[in-house]
Amino acid sequence: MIARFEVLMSSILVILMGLILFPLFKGNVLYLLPIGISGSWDQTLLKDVRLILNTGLDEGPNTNMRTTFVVVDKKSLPRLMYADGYTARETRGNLAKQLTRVPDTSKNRLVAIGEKMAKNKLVTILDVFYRDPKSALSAKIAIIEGEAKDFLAREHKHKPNLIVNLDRQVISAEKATIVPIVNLQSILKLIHDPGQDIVIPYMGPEDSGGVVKGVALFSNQSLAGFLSDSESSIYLLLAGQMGKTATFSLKTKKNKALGSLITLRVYKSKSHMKLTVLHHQAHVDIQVNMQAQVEEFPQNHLSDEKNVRSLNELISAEMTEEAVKVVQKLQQMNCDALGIGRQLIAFHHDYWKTLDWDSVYPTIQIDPHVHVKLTRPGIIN
Amino acid sequence: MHHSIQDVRTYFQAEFASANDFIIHTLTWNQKPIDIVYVATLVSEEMIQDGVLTPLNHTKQGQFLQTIGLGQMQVTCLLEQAVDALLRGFCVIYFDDDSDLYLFHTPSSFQRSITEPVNEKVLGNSHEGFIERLDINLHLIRKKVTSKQLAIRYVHVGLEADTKLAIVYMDQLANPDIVAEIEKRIADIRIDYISSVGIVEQFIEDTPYSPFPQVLSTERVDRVSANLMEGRIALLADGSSNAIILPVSFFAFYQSPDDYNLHILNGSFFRLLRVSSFFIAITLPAVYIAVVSFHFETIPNELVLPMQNAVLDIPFPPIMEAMLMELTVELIREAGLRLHSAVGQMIGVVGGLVIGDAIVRVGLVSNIMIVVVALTAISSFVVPSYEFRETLRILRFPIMILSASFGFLGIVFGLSILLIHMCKLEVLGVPYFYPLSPLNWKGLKDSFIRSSIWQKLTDDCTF
Repeated sequence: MIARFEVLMSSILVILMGLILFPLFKGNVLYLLPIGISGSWDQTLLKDVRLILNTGLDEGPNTNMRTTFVVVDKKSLPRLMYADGYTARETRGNLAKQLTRVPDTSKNRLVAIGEKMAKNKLVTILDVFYRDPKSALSAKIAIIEGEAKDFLAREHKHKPNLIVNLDRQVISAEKATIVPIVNLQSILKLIHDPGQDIVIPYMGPEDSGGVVKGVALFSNQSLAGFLSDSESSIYLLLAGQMGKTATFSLKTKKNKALGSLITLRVYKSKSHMKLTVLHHQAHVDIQVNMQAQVEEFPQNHLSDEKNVRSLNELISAEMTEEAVKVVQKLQQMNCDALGIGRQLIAFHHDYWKTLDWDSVYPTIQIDPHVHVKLTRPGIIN
Repeated sequence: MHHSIQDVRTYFQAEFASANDFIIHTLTWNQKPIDIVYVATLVSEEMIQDGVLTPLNHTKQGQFLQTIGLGQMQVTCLLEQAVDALLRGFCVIYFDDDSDLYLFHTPSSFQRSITEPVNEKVLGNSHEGFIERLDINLHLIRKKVTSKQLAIRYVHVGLEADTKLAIVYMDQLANPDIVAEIEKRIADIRIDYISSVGIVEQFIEDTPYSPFPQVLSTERVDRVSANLMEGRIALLADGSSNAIILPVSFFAFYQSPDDYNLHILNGSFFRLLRVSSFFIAITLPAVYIAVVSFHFETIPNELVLPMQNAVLDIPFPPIMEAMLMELTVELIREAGLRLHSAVGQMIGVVGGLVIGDAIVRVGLVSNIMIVVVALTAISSFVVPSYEFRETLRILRFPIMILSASFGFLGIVFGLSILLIHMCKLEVLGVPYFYPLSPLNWKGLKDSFIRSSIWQKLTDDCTF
């Protein structure tokens, strides 16, 4: 009824407009007719939709999928709704049956995928997000420890109004170089890339609420393992994907007693990956040069240049050691997160064609070298 | 051609048969009858009494021209011309057996004092404005432009009641072809009566159906003189307190005489502000409609929920909501425009506060729509030209309808049509959208921003 009224009104208005513009177009008012006839066929009024703000994807009890939707009520209060189905699209359709207004995902902010669900190929889960023209491609994506459903329900119970801001938590982790800056759109590129694997933020519940726990590593589109938050920072610096800052606490003595640690904030980092293929053996050398500011160092003797130099060496060695561990972990999980395969495709294509990269990648030699330079001692001297 | 005094009197009486203010005095002078005729409402009767009637009554005989104490005498033998002169505040004197009629200019001088125009206020500079008398207006221009090159050409328009027009321009600066074209177009005007210079404007503009004003109408002396010095042509009419300036381009409407008095930075800032107001005034409601009915994914995350709450209970589609609110604003504007200022203020209060507040509470219009419409209305008042304000009022409606039908795509269509139209428009052969189309980098310096005066002196471009 309303739609018909609308079309009628817009047609009347268009005819009026036609009369105004008639002389301008020297009488060819017929050109304007389509506007009136078309009315407003692809209109979606903001007041007619139910906005979905977060989506959680899990395996269903009886079907392939159970989707958790965070929708908003009339007073902007978020509410959780669940729908089962064999595909993601079907769950959305089933959600619509429970609502009076049309569900709309164009303002979706976070796609949370349960750990178990993420063992499936990503493309089978996420396809609906890419095929829908109004889908929010800038939505953040996160892998959830346990079930996404439980995580969202817990978050909703803890802080009912703040659940819509879960994506902010991911964004602040991006700034702190804990997770890579990815969203649905940037992941699509990697989904179809044989030369690079996907890395997605990893979140999990804690007593105080959800936290970003590190990153989830994918091997051939399926979940393979995780990196903790300190490991993921090092990985991101190796990959040259620094956010705003990256903070590390490193030991300067044997033990980790209070006062012996140094906290430093990396403010500038450059990573250079060198790939050589010798005798059908790929060898990767990664040089990372960082400049850091000292955040905490109770032993304070940074005015002495010699001390600073030895500290630089100590820290660099420690960071390199960490980096080696991270690289080993990546290779164990067969996750080419550094995009070495992409380099091979680009610069050693003939060699790449002979390879079965999945079996070769864990065996290649990757040598990371981290050079830290403490350049800002802080405002005390 | 000899007529007896009786013939002439009968002729005048017949011509002014229905005019009770037509006066004929008959005296005897040099033993001959002499008639003094005038239209009482057009002349200063004091002047006639002192200059004509009293001397003639006193002397009874003598030399005619020495007796009359009035200057500005014309002699004619054509009765039609005498009738014409009577209608301009002349008094006509004639003798028996004399073919000549003596015309003396004895106008009554009621005139408004020179005040600042109400709808074109400026902060600094001169506060002179035109009044309804052509001679005084020309005097004001002459006083401002003290150059011997200032050309003033009179033309008369009107078949039944003619009005004197003046075409004013700088001889060396104005394009003679354009002057000739204007003269030709004015000569072609076939109309009984011209009530204001705005009627002339409609006769000489190239594209009468274009929504854009093609001449600049102003009541400011300084604006006219500044435009004259830039080679444009001004048209003034007796009885109109405004002059029209042509040919003008789009950007001329966005310039205020104030710009040049201010510091370059301030002047440029205000000019940019005005140009941006053009876009706000014609597109803001359309963008709002497009956003809430097609592209709400473009609303920032923080705003989408408050916005949805605002529009949720509105019973109309956004286009109807916008039309309703625009209609309200236009009604308030139109109602307040021609009323006494005290009543006008009351309408502003009733309209602005009461309707604005109540309409949101009733739930007919969302509060965001009120913000949008109010901002649009304010933006359309920013332009320093009255005609252009009216244009902005009209232009936003088709764009709103297009945006309700096609979303952003419709807005782009609408603006493209507008742009094409503006690029194509010419005023007396001068492109309307100059210096953007045809593009002239040097000219752009004085369109969006205000270039410095000394730069302007070196590379001024005239038509």
